[in-house]
Amino acid sequence: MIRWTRFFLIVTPLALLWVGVHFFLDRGIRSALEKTGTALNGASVNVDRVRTRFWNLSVLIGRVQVADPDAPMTNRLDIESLRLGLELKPLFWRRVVVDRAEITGVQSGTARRRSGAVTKKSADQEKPSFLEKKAAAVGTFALDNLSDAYDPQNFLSLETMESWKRVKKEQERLTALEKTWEQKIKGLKTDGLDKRVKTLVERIKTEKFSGLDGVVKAQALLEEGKALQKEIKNTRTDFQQMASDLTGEIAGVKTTLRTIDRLRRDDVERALAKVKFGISPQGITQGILGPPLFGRVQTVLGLMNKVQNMLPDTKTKGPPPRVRQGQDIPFPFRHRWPAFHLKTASLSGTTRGRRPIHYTGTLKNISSDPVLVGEPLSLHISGAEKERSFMLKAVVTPSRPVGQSYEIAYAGWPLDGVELGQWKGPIVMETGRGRMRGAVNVKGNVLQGRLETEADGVRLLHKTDAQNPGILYRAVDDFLAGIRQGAVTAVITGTFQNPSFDLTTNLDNEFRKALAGAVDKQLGELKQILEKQAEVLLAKETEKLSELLSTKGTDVLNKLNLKGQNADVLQEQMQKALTELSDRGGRSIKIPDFKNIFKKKRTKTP
Amino acid sequence: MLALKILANFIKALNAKDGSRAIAGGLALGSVMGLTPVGSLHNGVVLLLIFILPVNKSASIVGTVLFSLVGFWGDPVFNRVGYFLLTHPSLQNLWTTLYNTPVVPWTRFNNTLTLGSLVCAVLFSPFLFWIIHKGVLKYRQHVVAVAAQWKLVRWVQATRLYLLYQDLP
Repeated sequence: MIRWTRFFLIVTPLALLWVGVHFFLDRGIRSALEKTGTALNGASVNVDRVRTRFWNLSVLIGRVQVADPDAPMTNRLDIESLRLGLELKPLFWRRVVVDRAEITGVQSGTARRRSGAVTKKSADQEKPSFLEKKAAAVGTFALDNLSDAYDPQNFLSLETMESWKRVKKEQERLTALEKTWEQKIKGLKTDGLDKRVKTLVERIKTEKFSGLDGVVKAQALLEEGKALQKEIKNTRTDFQQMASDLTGEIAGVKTTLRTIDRLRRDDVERALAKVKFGISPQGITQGILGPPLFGRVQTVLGLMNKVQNMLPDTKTKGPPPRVRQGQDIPFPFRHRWPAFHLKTASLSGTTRGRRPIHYTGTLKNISSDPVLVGEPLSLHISGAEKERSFMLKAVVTPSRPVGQSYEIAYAGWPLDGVELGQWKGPIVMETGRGRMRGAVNVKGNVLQGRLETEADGVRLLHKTDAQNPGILYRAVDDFLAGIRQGAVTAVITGTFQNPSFDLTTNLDNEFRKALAGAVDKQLGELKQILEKQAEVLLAKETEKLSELLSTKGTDVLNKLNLKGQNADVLQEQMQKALTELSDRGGRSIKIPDFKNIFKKKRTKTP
Repeated sequence: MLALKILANFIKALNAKDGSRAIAGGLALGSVMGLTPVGSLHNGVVLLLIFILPVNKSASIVGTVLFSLVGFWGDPVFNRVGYFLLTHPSLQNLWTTLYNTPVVPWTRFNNTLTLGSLVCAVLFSPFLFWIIHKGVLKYRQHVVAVAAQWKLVRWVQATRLYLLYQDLP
């Protein structure tokens, strides 16, 4: 007889377990994967299905789509299936150690049916990155300069000319100087002196000197006259000194005019230097090759930075625990198992693009705690399709600071239709095959790497809308048409936040030779135009300055001279009057004799 | 519809003459499930107890839902209790042993919220059982008996809806 109560007591938990696993476990795992993935990615992560198999401890995850936060209608990563083989023992301790995995159908850039956007980007995030700015700057540098190269007004404006600044400064100084001198001249008054001389001369003429009183009076007048004469002499000296100073100042301004002329020539040279770089082989090649190369470097560095940020060493402290989540307190654990560890996974997929390449490879040591695992995370993939092949090796070392090293090689890169930069019109690669190899090492935040690109069988298409493109355009066009192969090396240094690129190409020398004549001729013509432009811009102001110098300076000097002449006249009048006074005294009694007589008398009287 | 059925069953049990302990037991076990985070391993054990023990299943579901709402308000307290227990020096050996014991980590006992809410819920459930048990008896004695005399109740009892309610198993 069956004891139904006992039967149900055993069957019920088993039935509950089956129901739980069948209906809820797979869904729970799927939901957890989607939630965690979305939180980490910043855009939707969708998992089509999850199937767990207890008998062989495996999990099959079907179609994982990781949306691109920057392009929500595109998948950053699209994986057809993941088959994970789990280790049994760690599961008892709630640790997921994937012993072997098979990841197939890896693609990127596939279209999504629904948008993967989860949050709106803030204004800060939408700002172009340093690399974007850098790429744009390099990409448009040559174009900007060259398109404007024949418009000297853009190179020589009054605000940027040192010579013009100097002229203005001198004008101001001279105006202030004139005011100062005017005030100084006003300060030296000769009117009082004039009157006093006139009065004294009048008195000498009209006064009658008779007897002893006359002698005393004449003596007093003589003393007064001598004092006045001395005063006139001093004033005259002052005027002479001031005139000499002013002449010195005027001479200084004249020297400045010569300096301004020199500055004007410097301004022209400086403006010409900008144009020279723009139409230099280096400037043109950077403008042509910069945009596509920097675009790729930007993508690669962006990915490296993301990897860096995902590692525990550099991770910033996360937000406080969400509602109903709490905080996990770790305790000493005897096994070296992180919460998640994928030991080895075989990988296969296809690259994006019109002609994708199928690749295979291995992925090792993806874990939630790389430091605990102690082995580097590595990715090695390679693939080939007819004449095209590529290889990528990436190793992330869980050291402090985190080290990353990347090696890349790509051969048979189809360059047909690749848009290069612009030079008076777009430059497109009609045909060509490229090879790229490079190595980049990252230690903490410091970058160091080298990327070498070579192209063969190149044919460039260069178009312009300009009506009269000019001799230089034709020379560049001829050179571009003749290019069949080229090599570009980009040396990467700096940090993720402030990377630095040094671009060199073997085309520079050839370009220099090809363009030498045309560039020299163009530069010669341009120099003439710029000089004329500088002269036009400065002539008016320099003229003003000269006028100011000739009118105001001379005016003040004339005034000084006039005052000096007045002083001379006064001196002359004074001298004449005093001579007359001496003569009058001489005709009657010599004044000094009288003086001596009186002196003798005085001494004898007592 | 299922929610209404569960609620109707709960009300029916509440108004019935016997089974006050079953209701109190169901609500008390439901409170443990409701107060602690969903998906913890101990909830499987509680679920098993609900199926094995003679408790009212509808009451446990109602208890889970009701106390889930209460749980959100109690989280800060549970977190503190859990943190206190997990970081207490005298308990470190216990937790380390448990942490290294197979299967136990699945309970997520090392999570402040899980441990704090479980401890609080387990301590709280006997009192809850006693309060509900007494409450149900009082309810039946004072509310059900008096309400049966009300015209509105009689009118409701005469409706077809009430007959359907009575037909529920």
